[in-house]
Amino acid sequence: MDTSSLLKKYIQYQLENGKKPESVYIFMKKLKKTDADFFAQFSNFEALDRYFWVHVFEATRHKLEADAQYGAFSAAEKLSAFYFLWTQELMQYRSYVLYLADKSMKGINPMDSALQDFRHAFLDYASNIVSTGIAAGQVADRKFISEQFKHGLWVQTLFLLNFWLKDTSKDFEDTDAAIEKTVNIGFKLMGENLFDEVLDFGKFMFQRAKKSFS
Amino acid sequence: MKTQERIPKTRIERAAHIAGAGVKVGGNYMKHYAKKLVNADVSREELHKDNAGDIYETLSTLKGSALKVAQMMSMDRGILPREYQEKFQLSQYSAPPLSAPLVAQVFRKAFGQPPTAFFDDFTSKAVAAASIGQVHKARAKEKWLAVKIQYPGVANSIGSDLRMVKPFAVRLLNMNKNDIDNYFDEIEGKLLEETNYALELKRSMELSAACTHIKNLIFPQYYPKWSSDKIITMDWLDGLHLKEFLANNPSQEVRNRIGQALWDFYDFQIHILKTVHADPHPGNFLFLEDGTVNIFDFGCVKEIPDRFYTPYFRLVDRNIYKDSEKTGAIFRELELLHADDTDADIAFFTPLFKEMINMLTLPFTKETFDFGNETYFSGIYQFADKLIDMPEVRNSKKARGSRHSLYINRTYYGLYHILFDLKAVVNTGNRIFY
Repeated sequence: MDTSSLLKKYIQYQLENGKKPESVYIFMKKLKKTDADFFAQFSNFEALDRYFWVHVFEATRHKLEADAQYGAFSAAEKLSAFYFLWTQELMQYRSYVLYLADKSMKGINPMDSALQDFRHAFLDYASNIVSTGIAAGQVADRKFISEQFKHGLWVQTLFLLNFWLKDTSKDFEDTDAAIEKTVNIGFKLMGENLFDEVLDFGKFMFQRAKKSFS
Repeated sequence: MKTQERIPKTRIERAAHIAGAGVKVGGNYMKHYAKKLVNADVSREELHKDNAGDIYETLSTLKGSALKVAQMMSMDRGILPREYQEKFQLSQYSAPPLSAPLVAQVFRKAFGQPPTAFFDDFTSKAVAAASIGQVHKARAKEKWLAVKIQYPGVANSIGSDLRMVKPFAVRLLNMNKNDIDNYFDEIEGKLLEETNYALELKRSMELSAACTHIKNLIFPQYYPKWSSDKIITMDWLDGLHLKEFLANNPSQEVRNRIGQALWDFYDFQIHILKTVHADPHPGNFLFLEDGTVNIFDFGCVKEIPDRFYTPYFRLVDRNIYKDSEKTGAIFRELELLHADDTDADIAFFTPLFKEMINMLTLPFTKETFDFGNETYFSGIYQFADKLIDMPEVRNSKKARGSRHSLYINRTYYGLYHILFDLKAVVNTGNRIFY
């Protein structure tokens, strides 16, 4: 049994039962497999939890690298393209992510240990983007601060994840707008001229909030 | 056009901006009347110029449907004096661009693949802006195509943008709140329709097909397989916008040919199809030196209900005015007069409406009409000015005129305006295509 079908069964189990399997043994027995099959790939369920996020991230990166346009994109465009594809990739797991968010009550928690492997992989990717941006002059090379940009991008990633989870717009087009706007803000913050975009985004969120109350 | 220093984005900030224009306009009026006290010769024209500058500066810092409303107001020449016109028309050509990844995303959501999967060439940057989206140039084999892509979330912002412009319109256009509410419903409905590209595609194909027989008109071919509710793909069109076209000094013959084609196009739609391309804005046409016109952008289409069509066009017949009872009945059908109007109201408004209708329908009553006729047009503007100056009109608490008239009048104003700019002499009397 390969990792991705193991992941699929694991997700399926949780969605159908509303909780994690009691043990690896019971879980594998239900699949008519031995627990050795499981331990050959993962040490426990927590490892599988972490693998889920890394898996989605890697799948997104593969698709990005296969895209002919991607290489020619500016740093900001690369990041947007990543978010667009990432949210698209997550779509097939939406029920599962909603289930995870539901369990932690307040959406996906950034401190969740399951996110940490994904976080490291993303930070690598993000610092690449930032240095491309610096090289092309799209990102200001500010002493000590430039090093921290990638952490800002990680916060943005989680923000977009939770935005997407709550998005009720048709075809999730509000998520697309949020990506476009946050990436613009992010790069303005990293470059110059920040207020325009912050205000634009504020208005966007304000209208949305108003809509959901009326 | 000077580049914007910054774009106001929050609702509050935008609202504040609009209030700013209101205050400034108020100031301009004050200045006008103060000057007039000292010197009676100060022209309204100067006042309008001051106002237009301030309003334009305010509106041009807005985006989205506020921009669209500016465009609407700029169409309605009867409401808006000439000095406001040219400035507002600039607003047609600016909008925030979508990033290349977002364009790819819109494509992926519609067709599962980015544009590069369908086209041999696809400009990563937009080649032209539309008020709710942008146009990319693409190539599939030998064919050059125009791909129009809509900005996500436009439909959601229309309601709130219109609510913001409303108080502003009340002040600036001397329209009362009743009129505005009545008309804003109609405008909001039409704007929402414009965000539905699937509907636009369907209408574009139907109306183009129905009008292909009209001479000197060129319609692009549309490609449903590359279109969705956010994307419309059609043939790439050459040609010049009205202003640039006229800058090349086309001959009178070419102007007439184009004027005739446009006249026939509208005549046929209004009287035969009863469905009309209700956005005769110069930006929606491309003119060619050989006297042909490219027509595209059927985003705004008005269907004319019979209960409006019949009374409206009965008024073209001058004999009807001899019978004041009949005239009154028609005015009531068109909601120009209301059942609860006093005798004084009727006595005041009836001749005004007669004069207005006489003026607007004048081209229908002639065999040929010279749209280059300055006196005709300045007569219309003077009349509009006269209306604005009348306290009875300004203080009227009732809406006058059916909501359907909004887009029909706009269509005629727009058409007349283009024909006036073309200085075309048009055969308006005989309907050659019947």
